[in-house]
Amino acid sequence: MRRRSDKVFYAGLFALAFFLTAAALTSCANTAASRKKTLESAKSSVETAYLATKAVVDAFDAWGKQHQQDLVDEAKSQKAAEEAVAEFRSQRKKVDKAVTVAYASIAAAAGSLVLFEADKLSMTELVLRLTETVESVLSLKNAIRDLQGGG
Amino acid sequence: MDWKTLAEALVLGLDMINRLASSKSDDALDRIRELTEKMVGNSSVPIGTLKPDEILAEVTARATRVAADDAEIDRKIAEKFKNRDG
Repeated sequence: MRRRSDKVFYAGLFALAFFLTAAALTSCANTAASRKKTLESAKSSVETAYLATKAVVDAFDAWGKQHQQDLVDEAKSQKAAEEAVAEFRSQRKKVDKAVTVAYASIAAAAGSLVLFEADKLSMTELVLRLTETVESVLSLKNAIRDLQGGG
Repeated sequence: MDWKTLAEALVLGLDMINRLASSKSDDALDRIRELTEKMVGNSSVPIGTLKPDEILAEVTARATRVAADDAEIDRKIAEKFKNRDG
């Protein structure tokens, strides 16, 4: 499950990154037609990024639940079990924060598209906003990897 | 709040969220959650097929699921060692 969610995640990021590259290359052709095409591509990319992020987070949460169960199974005492799960949950807070930031970033990217559609945001600014989204989602992936690697 | 104002608030809010995320404060997560909830409020303005409030609702929904899973683990701990002691 973990590898499948990785593929979904990177597919989503690739879609977003591909859009960013295409937008950068066509930014000089700021015609109404090109903006409309860019907008449609961006909407699809943002939605793909959201679905990919959700897939990774859902997979992580399933792993986290099983990991805690494993800790309980291994524990020799109630105190040991409680301390082990408490330590895991403490470490998981970093992922929790990254999840919130990633989703907020995606929501803000969606908001940027509204401004772009209303001609209140330039292509360059849109690209910058979506770049921030990619960065926040990558940070989430790294936070998950760090926890799973050390867990 | 009209959808254009909402969109502007979302974009500006991202900067604040990034600053909170990099802070060392223990309650940064709660503050981020509060900020994002305030930004979209009850908005149902669709962005393509994706609504900002649906995106942010997933944060709360996920937190609820994780809390439920954690509670289940806590019960299993109690059951395991109660049976052992009993």
